[in-house]
Amino acid sequence: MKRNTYIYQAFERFWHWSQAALILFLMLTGFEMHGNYQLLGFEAAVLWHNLASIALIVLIIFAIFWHFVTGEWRQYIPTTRFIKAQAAYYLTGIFKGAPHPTHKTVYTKFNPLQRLIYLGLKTVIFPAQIITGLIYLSFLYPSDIIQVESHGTIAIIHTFVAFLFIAFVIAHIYLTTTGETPLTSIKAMITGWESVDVDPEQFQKEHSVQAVKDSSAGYYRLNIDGIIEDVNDAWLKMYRTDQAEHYLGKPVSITRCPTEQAQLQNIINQVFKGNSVSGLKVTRLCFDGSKGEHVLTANPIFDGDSIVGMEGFIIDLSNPNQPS
Amino acid sequence: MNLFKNQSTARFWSVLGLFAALLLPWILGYYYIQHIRLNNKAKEVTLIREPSQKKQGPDHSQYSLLQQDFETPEQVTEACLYCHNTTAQEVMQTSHWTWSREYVTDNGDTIQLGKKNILNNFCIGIQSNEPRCTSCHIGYGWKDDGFDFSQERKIDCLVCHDQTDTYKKFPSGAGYPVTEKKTSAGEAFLPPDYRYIAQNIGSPRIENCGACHFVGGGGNNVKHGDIASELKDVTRDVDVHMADDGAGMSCVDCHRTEEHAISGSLYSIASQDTNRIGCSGCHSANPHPNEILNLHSARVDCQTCHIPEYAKVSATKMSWDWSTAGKLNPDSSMVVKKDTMGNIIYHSMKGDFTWAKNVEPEYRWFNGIADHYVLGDPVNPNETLNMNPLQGSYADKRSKIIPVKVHRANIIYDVQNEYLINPHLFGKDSTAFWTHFDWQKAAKAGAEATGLAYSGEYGFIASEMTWPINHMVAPREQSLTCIECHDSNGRLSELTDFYLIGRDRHAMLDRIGIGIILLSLIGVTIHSIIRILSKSNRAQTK
Repeated sequence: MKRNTYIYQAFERFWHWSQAALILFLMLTGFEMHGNYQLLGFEAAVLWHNLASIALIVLIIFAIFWHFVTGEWRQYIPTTRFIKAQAAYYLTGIFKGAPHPTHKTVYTKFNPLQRLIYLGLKTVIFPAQIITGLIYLSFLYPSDIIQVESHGTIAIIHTFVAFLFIAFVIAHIYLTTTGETPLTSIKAMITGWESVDVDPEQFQKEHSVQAVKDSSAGYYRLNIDGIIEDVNDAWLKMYRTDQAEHYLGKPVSITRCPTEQAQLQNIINQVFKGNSVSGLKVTRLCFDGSKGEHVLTANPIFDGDSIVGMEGFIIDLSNPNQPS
Repeated sequence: MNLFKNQSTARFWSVLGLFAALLLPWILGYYYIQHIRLNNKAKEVTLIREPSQKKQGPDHSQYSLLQQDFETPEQVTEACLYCHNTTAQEVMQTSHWTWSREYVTDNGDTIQLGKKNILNNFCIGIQSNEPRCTSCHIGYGWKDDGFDFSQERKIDCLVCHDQTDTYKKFPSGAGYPVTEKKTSAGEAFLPPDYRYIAQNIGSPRIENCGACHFVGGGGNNVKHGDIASELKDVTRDVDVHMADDGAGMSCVDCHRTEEHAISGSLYSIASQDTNRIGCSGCHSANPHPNEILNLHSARVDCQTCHIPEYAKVSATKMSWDWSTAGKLNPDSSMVVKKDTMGNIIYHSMKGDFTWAKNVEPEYRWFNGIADHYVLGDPVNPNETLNMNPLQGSYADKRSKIIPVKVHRANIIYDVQNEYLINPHLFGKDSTAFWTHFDWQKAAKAGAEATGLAYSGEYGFIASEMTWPINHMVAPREQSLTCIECHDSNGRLSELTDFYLIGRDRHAMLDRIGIGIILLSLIGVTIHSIIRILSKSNRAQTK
């Protein structure tokens, strides 16, 4: 079951696109320094490259922090489950219109191949590039600690890893087109929202809660002492107030005129005995002193075998605007 | 909870915020680089030491000792030394007088080596040719190997201290001016008015130094390339230091002198890392706002970037082929050919030359020590002989990259003994080459003068001589930009013993890297084509 879900957090998207821009820019300036073309001019390219590399390192430090604080680092734990299926999908299944062999959820954003590639990127490629870059800089700025004798080897490794980055970017951008539609994945990385697989039970629960909240039938819940514990917006509206504090924590008897108290007590007694009440037409005492009529339902709330409260819905009968 | 109702608005703001957050650092970075880093060029030169102020000396015209009609230059010297009674001892210690310095040979012996016995690849060596060569000695009468270097009265004070521009040594006079009017190469030489000159002496000016140093090799700018008579009157474009519209400095502002010992040495003759002067005598160690440029100074000398070219006004001699010398016209007159700029490109006495103007230097590692070819050293006729190899390499951390002029010449050598010959060129005797054009006689006489045996068979060997370039510093806006070295065809393409970013690459790994990129491009192309085709197939079958 798929559902539109907020899958990429704001920082995550900022990190991703900043990193993408920085890497592309580092490539552009880096290969100019390598002598492949002239674009910004060598001096500007060097200044920009050094500036962008510091920006990238700062960004990566924040990203590492984010990964550990949010626990998102677990997304990169490698797994061999479905790895063959995933590879087979890209090699054959995708051409036959087969479904993705693994499901994308908030908790497993990456398929097994992505996990492997991203883990390699984070633990090998990025560190190699950052470390060789820093060593090269320490050749320019030698200190007592780091003295570089032959920066040629360092530069050659740095250049070669840069080639690997280009290859990754090509494959990465292409694979974004393998989502539901070619632009689905990129849109998701921009907005944060994507239609991903969800647990139906979980979805049902969340949905029910929302349904009660948004319902135009009034909802209420009492505890075993007859104290109001929860009401929804529609309930408050029928009682002509928008302040839940007027009712929450108060005895339910304040919702009736003195003449109706016996009927109310009768309902509560019925429910606390274990019965349900439905379709009963009653008259309520609103917050402003006026009266209104509604139909109510009332059910006991169980905690194990014992009854701990009562809840139900009310539907207004006196509002002329309500369709009959 | 209005999330679902206002979802699209919320998304809009979140995406807008994302783009703002993404763009902001780039705008800041752009501002920083364009407006702070790149515009932050040095606007002024920071000096750690100002040029010395000219000292106003005593008025020599007031001294009664100088109110006399000197008949010989030696009499002038005696008058000078009457007051400056320790100066002769100072002068006689200097290499301007001795034309000799201590030199440690390859096998560790310390010998005396200097202009008096070293060989170069211009007019080779002075032995047996003294009267011509020693016209630039600060003495009188070094006409052969019998010159007595202990005679104080033979010191020529005037050539350095004349302020009248009327004192001239005659080109073949062994250091003496003329005693009667003579001409040489079309230039008239008159007997000096010693009384007038002696009363008007002062600290050496550009003209005094230039009298010899501008014309090394027998003509303006022949040898050095970066030291020529135009320095007397140039614009900033040619030399920021000596130009009137520049710093207006003279030679001795940098070549500071104590007890007549002039600082600075040139490695056409010098060999030791002593008595050198450099830019850091006046300029701070970190003159550039761009710290990366300052860091370059650990391995790159200032001159490398700040003297993009030399011989900016007059041409300098770049090569010399002695082997073609001696051709005469049918009437036995000498053949002289000139190029369109008036530079002699063939002369019967000397052979073929090439000249160049606005020359881009070559570059060498240099640690301050130079070796020299010493008379008698073996040569390999199959290799180009380096007359003065500059020591240094990337691995040697004291070495820096310097700009040099390389003068290439075919010079005479003894084919069987395999060493260079110092040929006897100048003289009116029966063996001088410039009189009789006979290499056999010139080689034999020259070899004898230097105490070497001559086998009777001569040949010509390719040689090169390296002249570090230190003058004609350009205005800062003309200094080299990064790309002039950091490029595969850049100026440093011959210094291959280190990795230079922008110039060097690991060809194999570069090819593999490009291969990987091509493979991934081909891979995604094929994959996407199959995807598109299979999709349309599926659509049709449905």
